[in-house]
Amino acid sequence: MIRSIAWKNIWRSKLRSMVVILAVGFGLLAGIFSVALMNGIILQRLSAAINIEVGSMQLHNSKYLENSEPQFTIPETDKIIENIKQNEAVAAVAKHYKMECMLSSNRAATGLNLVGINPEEEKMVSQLYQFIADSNGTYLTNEGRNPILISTKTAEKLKIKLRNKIIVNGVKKDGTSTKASFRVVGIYRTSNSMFDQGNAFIRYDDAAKIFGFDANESHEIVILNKEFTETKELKEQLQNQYTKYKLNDQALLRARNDSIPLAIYNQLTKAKSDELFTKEAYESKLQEILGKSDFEVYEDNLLQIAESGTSVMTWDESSPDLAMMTTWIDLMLFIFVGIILLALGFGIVNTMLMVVLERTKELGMLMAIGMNRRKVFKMILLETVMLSLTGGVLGMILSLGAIAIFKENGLNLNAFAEGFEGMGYASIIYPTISVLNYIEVTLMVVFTGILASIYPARRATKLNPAEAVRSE
Amino acid sequence: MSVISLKNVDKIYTETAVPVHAVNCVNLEFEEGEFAAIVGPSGCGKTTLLNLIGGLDAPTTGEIHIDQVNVGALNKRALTDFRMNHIGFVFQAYNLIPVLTAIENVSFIMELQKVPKKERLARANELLKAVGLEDRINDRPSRLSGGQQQRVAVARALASKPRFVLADEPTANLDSKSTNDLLDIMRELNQKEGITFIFSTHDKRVIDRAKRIITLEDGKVLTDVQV
Repeated sequence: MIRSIAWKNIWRSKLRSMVVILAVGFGLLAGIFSVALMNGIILQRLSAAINIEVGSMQLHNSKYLENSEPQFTIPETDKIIENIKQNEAVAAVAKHYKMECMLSSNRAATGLNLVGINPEEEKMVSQLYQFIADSNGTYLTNEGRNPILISTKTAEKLKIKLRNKIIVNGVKKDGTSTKASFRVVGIYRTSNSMFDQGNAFIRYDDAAKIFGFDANESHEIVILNKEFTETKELKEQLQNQYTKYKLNDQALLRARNDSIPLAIYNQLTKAKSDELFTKEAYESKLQEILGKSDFEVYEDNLLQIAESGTSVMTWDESSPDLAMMTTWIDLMLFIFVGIILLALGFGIVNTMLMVVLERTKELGMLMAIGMNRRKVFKMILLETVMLSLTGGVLGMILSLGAIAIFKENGLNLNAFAEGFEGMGYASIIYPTISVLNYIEVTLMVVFTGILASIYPARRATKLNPAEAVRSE
Repeated sequence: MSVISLKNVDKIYTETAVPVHAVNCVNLEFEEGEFAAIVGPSGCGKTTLLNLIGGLDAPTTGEIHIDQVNVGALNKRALTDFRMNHIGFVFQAYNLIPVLTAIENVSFIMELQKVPKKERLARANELLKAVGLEDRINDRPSRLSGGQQQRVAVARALASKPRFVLADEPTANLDSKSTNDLLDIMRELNQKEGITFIFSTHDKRVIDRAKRIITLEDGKVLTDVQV
């Protein structure tokens, strides 16, 4: 019956309880919706990064990562791709040539990455083809001579339009310079203007011919996994297969520039050699030199500095900022909702203190007739938690509604599009939040209720029943 | 043999600027089945004495034994349980729980005693019938008159099957008819079930019906008369 009394007591002063419930409800709406927006922004960015820019994983010649010169290619690319395709976790694989080039029109010039792609193969790993407006031409096809796909940003910079000609100046694989003319067949625009400014696309075969590459080599192999962000196992597998490790002078130099402590660096210098190791052999050698605990602390750095041959990078390694933000989003929820609930908590304490004050006589009677202090405490606690939770439920229903509305049509922040896209974020945001987040918020509301009830409930239990029962 | 015994009981309030000697060296004995009234002018210590007997307050000096138990020696929790199981209270302002119906108010104390639901509903019904409210069991206090609320309070006081009922000015807010009805009910329960009733009152209507009148003045027992 204490539960029933607590619930009925909430509705004794409807107006006062409704004020608290609405405050908690709208406070939570603000908190949850803000977090859902941030979540939406980050997930959209993540989705764009994986589906357009970097894929789930990338393979490079490890030298290319240090110095992106054209000769640092991955040999026998097709064989590697065939092998990767066998893996069940993989959805699609594509190969790229990537050359730093100068693009010029009659009126301007700009430097960017020219990416050689097989259009049909590329469609399987990148949704870039969906970002060409109908009036802005087409994606690359096998038709025509030297077609090029550029972004609206590049078109604006070069002051050119669809079907105009562009001259590309670059360096061939053998180090000599080359020049070719391309015709703009399509102009794309993604939500990441940095990506747009930095990349133009041509056919793989054209790139091989103009820049003197062998068709069976590439600068980059992009892998899209079925579970986009699940990369750990495949990375391990590919590293065991294709990455070699060498603890030579270069590796030691990298170690010196990395955050590896001097003591460990000194031990590494003693093991310097030009010998190539497999991942497993290199790991056991390091464990032998450094001991297991030191090795485990610096494992990732120690592997990275000695990479030789083909290097495997996951999306979170190529976009560490994004990886960090995805881990921050949960913390954001706690911070945002936590601050809101803290402020609301004081309001709840105030309301419950008024409740105790107003019901002094009744509480005195309850204690006089035999309700012990523990039960009085429980009654006030339940009342506070129920009051908070009612507001919590209202807040969650309101948030669900708001999120459902904007999830369908998106929150259009086009007025700030330039700023958003400049940082790589879409200007139409589709808020999203997980069920787990709702559970977390519920627990936080209950926790706030419990915390807010402690002081008023203690005040209630401190009442002297003889005095309380005669109070006015 | 007495069931309530007060020996040299003093109660001095020291929280005030000048200490107040509310109860001054009181010695009293109550037998089972008494129908007694503690009377006297306002501020003479009636309510304080009743609170001391009911274990709501502790004496400054002296001893109070109820059913051989020295209530002054009980800790707070044990005292609360003792009150719940041995003493019924009726207050001047009824003090019912406003969000509960009449039957829920009466049942509540039995729930605290962990009486099974079926049993407590049966007893609550029986008690409300005894106080003439069998047709108002589902009404909340706000829908009942003052007299009816006080009758619910009497039923509640009896719900825990106490041996004593302490009533602090129970008729102060009632009209003559309600007062007479209430006193009839209490007297009947006193005679039929042998429950001891002790009132604090300055209501002549109550004093006229009491079988023992204890008069207090300045915290001291002035007279103690069996009628």
